[in-house]
Amino acid sequence: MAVGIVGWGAYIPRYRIKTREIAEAWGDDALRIRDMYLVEEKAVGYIDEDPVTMAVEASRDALTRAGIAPSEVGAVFAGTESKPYAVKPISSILIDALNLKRQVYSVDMEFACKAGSDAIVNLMGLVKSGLIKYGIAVGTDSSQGEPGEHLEYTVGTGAVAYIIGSTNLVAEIKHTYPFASDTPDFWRRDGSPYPVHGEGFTGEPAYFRHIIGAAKGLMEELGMKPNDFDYAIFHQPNARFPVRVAQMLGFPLEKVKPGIVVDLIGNTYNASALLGLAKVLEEAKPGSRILVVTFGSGAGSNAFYIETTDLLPSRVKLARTVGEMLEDKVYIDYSLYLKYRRIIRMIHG
Amino acid sequence: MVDQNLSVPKYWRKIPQYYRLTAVKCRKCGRVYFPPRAVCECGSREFDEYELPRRGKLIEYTVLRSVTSDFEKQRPLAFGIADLGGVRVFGQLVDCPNPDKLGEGAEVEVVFRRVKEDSDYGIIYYGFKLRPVKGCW
Repeated sequence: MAVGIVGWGAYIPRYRIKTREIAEAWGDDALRIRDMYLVEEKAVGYIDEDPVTMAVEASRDALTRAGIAPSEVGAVFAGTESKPYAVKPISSILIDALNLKRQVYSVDMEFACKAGSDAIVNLMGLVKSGLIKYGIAVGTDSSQGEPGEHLEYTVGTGAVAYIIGSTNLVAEIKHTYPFASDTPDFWRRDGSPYPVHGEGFTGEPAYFRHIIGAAKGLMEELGMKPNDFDYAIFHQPNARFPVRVAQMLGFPLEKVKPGIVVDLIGNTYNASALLGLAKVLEEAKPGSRILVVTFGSGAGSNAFYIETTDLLPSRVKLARTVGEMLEDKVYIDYSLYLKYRRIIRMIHG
Repeated sequence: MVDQNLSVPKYWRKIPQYYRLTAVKCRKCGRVYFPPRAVCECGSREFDEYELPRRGKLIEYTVLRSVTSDFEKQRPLAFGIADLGGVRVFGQLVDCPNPDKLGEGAEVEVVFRRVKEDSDYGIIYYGFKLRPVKGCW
């Protein structure tokens, strides 16, 4: 049974802050920061936006593109690492916001930035087993970056949703391959407002080892090489890492660039690589072969081999595109950024 | 728009309206009511649920600079009346730093947002707001 993507939706908030604006507030050299991360600006949710609201927006567009009735959905899984409630699911809010039926498997998933892609893998299993007809996988984050720390330059805001099923596919997910280990590269302790990096562990032992492990494992199992793919999309904590991992794997820049969004909206964590996929789906021709590799700290990757179908082009314009949302922006200064992100501590809040 | 000082059960009962703009449509004469009514002007008490369209036109708006304590940190607040498929709906206008730039009949879309929350520990009330499709700055 072929299983894959029936519809997709994305959401990027309208507000943006430039890297230069943040650097000026903290006395950093903006050129040096931009050179380090290749991030020009990042998306900032308004004071009334959070991973729940963005998940609803992305899921509504995904349902529209899929052209299915909400009552046909049998599962909704939300991957996030920035839940507004420590205890109270996003997925149950989605049930009522999207008017799904009550007989829906629903859960929030957490594995740093990887859980949204685990939602997809789990839904593929439920669809293949016949337990559900369609499922919604969401990756949504409005994560934290401590003011004055380098993470603040890249932590963005966004969401993406995929309808997974076995009929009317716009893209078939032909193969998946996981790679995970206990690697302490990045974490946020319970009750802590901001995450921390594990010294030099972010790059080689974490991001590169897991993404390369998953990508190579998938290609070896399939007997495929980088030349066999039209697009390669990787998790994007900044714009340097996905380009470098592509070089290490042997993918040319032109196959990686279409799926990079971090330079304009920042790292959207659980939406990151999957938002890149949404952008690629907007331009890919039928029959395109796409490699997607997600990454979550802690650490793990999921690799996907995806092939688009003839149904893809007709679904693109049925809802807001990533391309449109990248253009639809209002710049704010650092003071409004602090206010919108609720970083200013207030007694009367 | 969620009323102030809602109790949790009151919010819960209105979730279909706050989240999805669920109206009712009279089976006899076809009139649509939002918020829902129990009795139609035609006298009928038989309705079907009906979700209002999520795009429409802005009819009028106002900007409030003096607001209740729950919304003080969001000043100024813009509110508008939108025509959603023939039904007039009142709601907060968002992502619109300069409402004066909005032309008459500006296209608005219904978006899902936080409306208020009970301190740092209580419930977060979600609901619909109105957003100009083309922005206003």
